[in-house]
Amino acid sequence: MRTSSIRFADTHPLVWWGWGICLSVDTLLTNNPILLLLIGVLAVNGVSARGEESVFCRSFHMYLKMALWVVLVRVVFQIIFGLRIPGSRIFSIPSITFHIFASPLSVGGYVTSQAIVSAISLGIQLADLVLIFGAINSMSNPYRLLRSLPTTFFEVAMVLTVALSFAPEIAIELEGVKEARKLRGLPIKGVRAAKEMALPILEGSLERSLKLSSSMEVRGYGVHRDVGSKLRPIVYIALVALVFSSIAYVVFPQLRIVVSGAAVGSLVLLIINFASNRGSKRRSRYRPEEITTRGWLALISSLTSLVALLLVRHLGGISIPMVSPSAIPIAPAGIAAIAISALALIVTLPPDSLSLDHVGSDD
Amino acid sequence: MIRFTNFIFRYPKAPSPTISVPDLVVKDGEFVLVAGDTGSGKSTFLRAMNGLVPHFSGGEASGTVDVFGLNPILKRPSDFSELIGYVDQDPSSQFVTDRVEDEIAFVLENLGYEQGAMRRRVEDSLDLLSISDLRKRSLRTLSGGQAQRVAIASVMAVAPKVLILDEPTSALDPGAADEVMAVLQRLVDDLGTTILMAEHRLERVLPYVDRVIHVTDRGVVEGGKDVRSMVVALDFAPPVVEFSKLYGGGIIALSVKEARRMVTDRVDILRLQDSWSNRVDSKGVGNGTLDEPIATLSGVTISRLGRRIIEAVSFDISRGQSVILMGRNGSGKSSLLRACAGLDPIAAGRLRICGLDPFTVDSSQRISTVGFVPQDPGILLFGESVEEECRRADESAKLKTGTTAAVLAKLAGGIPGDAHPRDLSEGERLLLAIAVVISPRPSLLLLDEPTRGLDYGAKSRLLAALSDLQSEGVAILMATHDVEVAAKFVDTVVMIGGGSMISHGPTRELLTHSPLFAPSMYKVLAPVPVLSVSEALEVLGGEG
Repeated sequence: MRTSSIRFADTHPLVWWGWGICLSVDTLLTNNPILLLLIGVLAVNGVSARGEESVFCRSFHMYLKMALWVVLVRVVFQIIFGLRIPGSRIFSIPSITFHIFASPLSVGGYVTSQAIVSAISLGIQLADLVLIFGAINSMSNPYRLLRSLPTTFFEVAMVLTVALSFAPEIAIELEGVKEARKLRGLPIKGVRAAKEMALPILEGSLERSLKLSSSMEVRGYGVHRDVGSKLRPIVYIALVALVFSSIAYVVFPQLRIVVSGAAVGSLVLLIINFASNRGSKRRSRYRPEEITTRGWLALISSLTSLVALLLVRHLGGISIPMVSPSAIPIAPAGIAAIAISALALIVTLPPDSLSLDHVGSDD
Repeated sequence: MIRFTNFIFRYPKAPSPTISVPDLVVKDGEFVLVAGDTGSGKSTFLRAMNGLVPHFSGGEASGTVDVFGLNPILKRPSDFSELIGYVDQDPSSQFVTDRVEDEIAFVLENLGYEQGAMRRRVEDSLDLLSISDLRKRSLRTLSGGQAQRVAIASVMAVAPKVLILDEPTSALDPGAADEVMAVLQRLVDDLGTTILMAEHRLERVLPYVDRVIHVTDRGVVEGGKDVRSMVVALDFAPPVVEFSKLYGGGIIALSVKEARRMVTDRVDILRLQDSWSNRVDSKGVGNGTLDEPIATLSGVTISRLGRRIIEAVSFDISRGQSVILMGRNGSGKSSLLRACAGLDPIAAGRLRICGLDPFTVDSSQRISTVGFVPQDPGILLFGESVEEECRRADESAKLKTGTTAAVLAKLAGGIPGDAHPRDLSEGERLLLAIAVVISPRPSLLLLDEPTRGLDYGAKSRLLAALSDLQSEGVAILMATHDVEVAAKFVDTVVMIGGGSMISHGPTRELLTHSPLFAPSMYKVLAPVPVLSVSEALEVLGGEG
């Protein structure tokens, strides 16, 4: 009888999360629209090259649409409400000034090419983050991520995964409701229609999640919930503390020492908990995912790219002041630094090839 | 052993108990069918065994339930995961992971099995259900029968003593249903698993089961003695049982084999063939002259995501005609219906309904041309009450107020106007959806698996309603797996296999030629091409 443990040869989901996080940080390091566009292209390319055949991948077009909206809305807002940035004027719209609490608030006015460039850059920056998030979801199915997390985070991860899997489910649900309204000759646009469509969608997803949770419960999910429950609140508190202290680190620079202390403290708590759970047999794993050499190479290239971009930023050129379109620097060093993370897409294998090998080796 | 004593469950504020089980014992290794009308509480009863009721339903349970020494009222459903495997109606809605193998391992992981043991259990489970070729497949790509078997495998991995199934074959074509039933039989025979199963299609399951538990309309669960005596007491019965009640002189046949023996003991079937041909000759064949077709499909090809789902299908439907689409799960029946409803475009060919292309025609014109009731009719209903639903239907089709309500009253009298569509029974909800769709007077009504989950009573009400519509000139195109319904109702059958049209012709001819879709009365009297109990009795009466 064969009882050898089999390894999952696909790229580890954490590799893609690492890749995505590095790219996100890259995005935040620059406001050069050329570099930002490059990052967006990389994210889309990731989906087409290494996306899995899953419902999450099929919903990527929703992220694309959302990204385009973000840019558009950002530009429109800049034109109407934004601060008037001096420079070469393209056109102007009528300006109105309100006096609220004696402070003047003006809307409209002249629009300069510098203002548009800056709006587009900021828009792409946000759009990139949306795209990267979508790409990670398409390349590493959340279910697989869940399986690869340490036991300590299992419950938190499960909650997040179920929540995350709602987005595509809702998209499918929405499609169904729209069709049903079409079949009845009811409108699918307008406030009343939106109101009437929201209810069945909510009902549908609620029903689905109830069914899912009862199916998980029936198959023993959480059967060991009482074991180690003393430690669980600590995990949650540590996780929340970690998240808040990272935010505080950015928002309150003067508190950095205190905040880093808190962050380190919660990390230590998590690690202790992780270590103490390591030996427990509360849950086992059927096919532990391991980071392959290719996966490590992909992670290293993502990190290298990030470090390179940090260096380039230090030297200048990728963080630009508000300029006219013709003055946008090409920043070849920045392009090169970002291009390094494209290596991750090259060194890893597409998701299917290995699982096909597996089918072959079974018989 | 499972024992219920004075078990009563009620939802909060419900005036009467949802189900009550005075005294019931299920012995080890029994294969039990739980029968009852839709909405009688079969699912509630099944879910009470592993504590899903009351823990996941709310409500209040009293009395005692003893499941191998544990009381599900006090324990959590997860405490029963090694004892009881539970598979819900729609298998795909209960998948937690995304691959077949991981889905089967899910329960083992939760219970902390060792790697090696886990590996063996997953293999055993795959073998037990003969699905080892599916192990790497994504769960979303499985057909209905495959998904059902994976769902069963995913609870059988821990080798539970009891397996509970809620309508395991309702969504399956006859072939896939037989596969599932064969697997269940094997579990009972080889592993001594106790199986409790709710199912409406009694004709599929009666030959296999040891005992029938009946849930009455008032939710009282009665444990029967043996299948035969229980089946006689039921006021709904599959064709074979109905036939033997009238023909057998006190003996009840449960399977085609038994019924056939009953007949061959008395008459020579081959001689019946002659009397049948005489009968047909005297009556004449066919459905009279056919009008100008109202729907024309010629060379209709449908593709999705670059894959061809339907390949060059051609047939016509005339006024008042009823055509049934048959084929295995995943053969493209639903896609064809969706194209006819104008939801999806067709890739090639010509599709006209009343001379219009349903995909491009504007929506107000479409609803008066073609009506579509999808598999889950509830999705068509948005309103807070039946009245509101009817009013909205009048509004959107610009009909006189009260039209839809009148149509509904004719289809199904006695549905309270203030009831919420969700509170209606499955059959009532379906009739409401049909009323809403049919009120703008479309010439063609499309139905996708309308009899899924309906009990015999609701089925015959639906068929009566449909033949009323037909006599008013509405043409009907219906996709179904339910051969008994097809045999009773439809005059023309279109068989689809692998995306292309296999055959097209009169129901009698097509159904009696298909080994998979032959109705049970034909199997009893083959080669005499009878489709219904009344025809069979007529032929036998003429002989005897």
